[in-house]
Amino acid sequence: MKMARVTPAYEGPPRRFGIRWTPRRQRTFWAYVFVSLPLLGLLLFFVGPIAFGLWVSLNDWNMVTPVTQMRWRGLDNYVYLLTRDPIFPRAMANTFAFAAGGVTVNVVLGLSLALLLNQSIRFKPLWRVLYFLPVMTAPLALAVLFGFLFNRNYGLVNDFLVSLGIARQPFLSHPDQALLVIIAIAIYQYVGYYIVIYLAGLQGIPKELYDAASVDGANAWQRLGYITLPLLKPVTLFVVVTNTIGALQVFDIVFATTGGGPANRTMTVVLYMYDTAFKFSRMGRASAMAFILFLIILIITLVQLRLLRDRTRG
Amino acid sequence: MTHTRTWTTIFSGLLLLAGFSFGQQTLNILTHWGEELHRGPMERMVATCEAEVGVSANVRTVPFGDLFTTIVTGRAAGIAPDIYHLYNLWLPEFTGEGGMLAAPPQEAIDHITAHVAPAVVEGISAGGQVWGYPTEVNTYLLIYNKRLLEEAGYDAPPSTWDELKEIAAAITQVDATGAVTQVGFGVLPGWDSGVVHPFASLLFSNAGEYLTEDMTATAFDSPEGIETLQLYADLLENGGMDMSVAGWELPNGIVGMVVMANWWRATLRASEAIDYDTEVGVAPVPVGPSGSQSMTLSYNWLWSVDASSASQDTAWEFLHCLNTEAEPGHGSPSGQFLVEALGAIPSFEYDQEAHAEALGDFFLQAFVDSTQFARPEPVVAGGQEVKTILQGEIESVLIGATDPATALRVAGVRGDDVLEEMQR
Amino acid sequence: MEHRSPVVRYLGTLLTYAAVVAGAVVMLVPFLWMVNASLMTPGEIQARPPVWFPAEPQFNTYARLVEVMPIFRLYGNSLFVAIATTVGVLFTSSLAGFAFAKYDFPGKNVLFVLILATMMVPFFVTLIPVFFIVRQLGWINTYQGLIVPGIISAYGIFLMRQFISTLPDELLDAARIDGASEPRIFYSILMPLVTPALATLGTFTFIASWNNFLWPLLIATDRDLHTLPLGLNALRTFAAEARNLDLLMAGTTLSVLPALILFIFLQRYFVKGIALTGVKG
Repeated sequence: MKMARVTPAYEGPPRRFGIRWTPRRQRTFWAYVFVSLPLLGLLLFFVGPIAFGLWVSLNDWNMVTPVTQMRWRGLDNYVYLLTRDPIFPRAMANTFAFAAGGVTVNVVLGLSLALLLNQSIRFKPLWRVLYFLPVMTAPLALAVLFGFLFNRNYGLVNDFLVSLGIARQPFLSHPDQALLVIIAIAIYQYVGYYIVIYLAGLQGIPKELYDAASVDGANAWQRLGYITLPLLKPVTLFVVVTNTIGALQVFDIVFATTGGGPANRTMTVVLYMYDTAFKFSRMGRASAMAFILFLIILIITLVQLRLLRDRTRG
Repeated sequence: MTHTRTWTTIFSGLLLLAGFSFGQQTLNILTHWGEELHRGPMERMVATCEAEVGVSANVRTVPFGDLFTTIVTGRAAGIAPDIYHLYNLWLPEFTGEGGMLAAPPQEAIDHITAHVAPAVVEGISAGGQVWGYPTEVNTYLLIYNKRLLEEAGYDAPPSTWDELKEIAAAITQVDATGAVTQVGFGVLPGWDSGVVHPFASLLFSNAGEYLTEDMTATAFDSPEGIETLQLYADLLENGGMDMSVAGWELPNGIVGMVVMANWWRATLRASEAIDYDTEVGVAPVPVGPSGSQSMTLSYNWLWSVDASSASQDTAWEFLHCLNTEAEPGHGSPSGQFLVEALGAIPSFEYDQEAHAEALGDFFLQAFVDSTQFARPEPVVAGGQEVKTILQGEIESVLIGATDPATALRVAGVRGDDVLEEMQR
Repeated sequence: MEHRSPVVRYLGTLLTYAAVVAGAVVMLVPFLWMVNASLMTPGEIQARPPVWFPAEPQFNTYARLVEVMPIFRLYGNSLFVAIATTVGVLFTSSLAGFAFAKYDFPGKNVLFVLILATMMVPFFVTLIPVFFIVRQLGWINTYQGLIVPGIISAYGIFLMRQFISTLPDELLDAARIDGASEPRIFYSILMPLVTPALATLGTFTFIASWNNFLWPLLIATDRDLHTLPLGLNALRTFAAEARNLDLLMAGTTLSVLPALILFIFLQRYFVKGIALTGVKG
């Protein structure tokens, strides 16, 4: 087939726009064409906005006054948030509690369930689908559903507690329980994701290692401690880092269950940022919040990478 | 048959096109009215004045919760409407520096001030300027379930806070499993107006103030304010109130009393669990220990015109048509819509007179009467933020995380900061 | 090799099954209860002592729901926005990924580092500025406002570059010798080869877009542009005022079910994609 095509006699690279289009130049040209659209988008929707956001965070701006008339405030927004704002520290604390609680529990839970599912067990795909269902569900829908399930007077959870002889709990209207319920929703939603990733990790561990260990007389617990867990470190690193970053941005669940209440007890950084920007029209202060959280996320990510990597090597 | 229909379709399509390209001026209107139930009456109201003024009006409806953001964000090229329907608390936000609202023509201002109550004029003003035609007035009163009160042994609603506490405690019922099946008094946490407006109405009825007279600082951090929050704390303690049953459940027949606004009437009438005619009661806000008379808070909505609109004159002409009587005694198109579709109280006295019969309904009559002594929600830059701060602190007391005195002190200091900053 | 008695082994298996089944029940019950409650009357939902099943399933709740929640419009919008976003991401990511993996051009490394750096930036950092840009473009309440800011993905570019790097250069060179132009190489040689990576990236993008809430909340204030999560949010506010718990659960059911059913059919695909990126990433 290919031979049928007649190759024209070579006349040297064609000239167009005063440039000799050697194959190499042609390729470079097309490479630029290929990256131009994505890069333009990246500049317009990422790089530009980051710079603009940083500048806004140093100003007072309500988005109604023209950009040129923003009031310069220097670091005032940052100073206010870090020293005077009573809600921001609480929002930070809640956000970190949410991330730490959810990720820790899910690492343990996800790994345990993955270990169980990795044994010779029947209907494996069925179990995997069931555990994975909430991952596919919109967080907003789960928030609505759990708000209903955790209602004090007619929620299924309280009906269950009562049938066990435990007193009804206020859950979402209780100052301390509300955040725990929100963490529980996040655990429920994402445990399936951890399971799937750990299962893939487990399947990547060579069988020979276990066989060799068994020959040496290692029991199941020893095999877990000396083979499985150390070899799963990179997987853990991945899920912990990505999920911590994700969890620190929580918005939907809180928005639809408590709206940050009662009395800001479940206020998170992104929700507070949303309120500050779109309810109080304080774009500068809201942008400053974004950059503070961003900086913290960067630091946490680096620390996590360092910690887990060191242990993997050790 | 098929042919006729085809030709009709094409013909009307052409007409429609002609209407678009050669037709009259179009006014774009943004409002939170006109969802589902009210679309028909809304369109009829608009049609009256479209014919009268010779314009075509294009009404866009967004839910109340989204209206503020829609307005703030809508100023981008091409999508800012000509006419807004606004909540008066937002006025400072839209009229300050780089303001986006057009001041009404002098005739309009004269007409408005001549025909609405002084409290309404105050409500729709900011910076000493009237900003448009007032529409609905809302005030707060004690709405109660007559049946629940009677079952608890009371045939009259409370007129003082002590009575309120006593009756509320008597209504509350808890079943064997600890579930609250019925509660005496309900609040509306999680929503700024739902928390702050009833609180302010109770505060006014206890001779307290929300802001100082010159509106440069908060005034709720006062002995009267602390007494008001203490009322909530007492109700929680004596069982008259429970945070697991919100005031929203009054139409479900399981809440005895709520301080709530007249716009709730539609929900109450639609309720199956409580009979509007025989079981819904409405009474003045109970008077606190430091107060001498029942007071209430009112807030307003108004039609305003965008300052960048190319059709400002037509827009004001259109609004004038909506809000004035074509014939004396018949009321305005707007008044007609407010009363008949929404069951709301119109601002103009001629509308109140024209619809005296409809407004004579026991429920609305009580609210109409209260507009005579109601105090407008203070319209001031930063007002929304002060409200949210106070909401948070009131909720802190409701969940038992802090005491009334501390809550109001914190809210006062932070609120003062906001107001001071806004004045700079 | 195992030296455990059959009894111990049997007990172990039993415990394993017990744990797995118990977990699965916990995962499933909220969904079942959602459907169950949507078929109850409001009275049954709030009845004390609790009623476990509807005396007579109230299917007409779903008929009533359609009146307050424009469910088909919501499906349509969600589907359109998610598909358009996904197609956009796949196109831009494979284009840029191809250029970074198989071409040499001045500034390549700098640009690639730039892309890696933006990958680290969470969405909330750019939320306000991007919102402002979209507003200046007049894209509030438009489909392009919902879609366009989402069609560039630094992660997508990275993923595609990694995948395309593993493909042998010879294939491309052979096509060049045959006289194929570079764009032609892209769409007729490269695209078929990267289908597995596109499937993975596409799955992620689709789900993320389908479930997205905050961005549409800002952009689509007009009800006609609402996506499913926004429609559900509107229903939530509506139900809060009138306490229509039956309607709320019916709405939640309808907004959740299609995606779940689709997932059950395509689950292998989804799970594999996630495992792949998870372990390799």
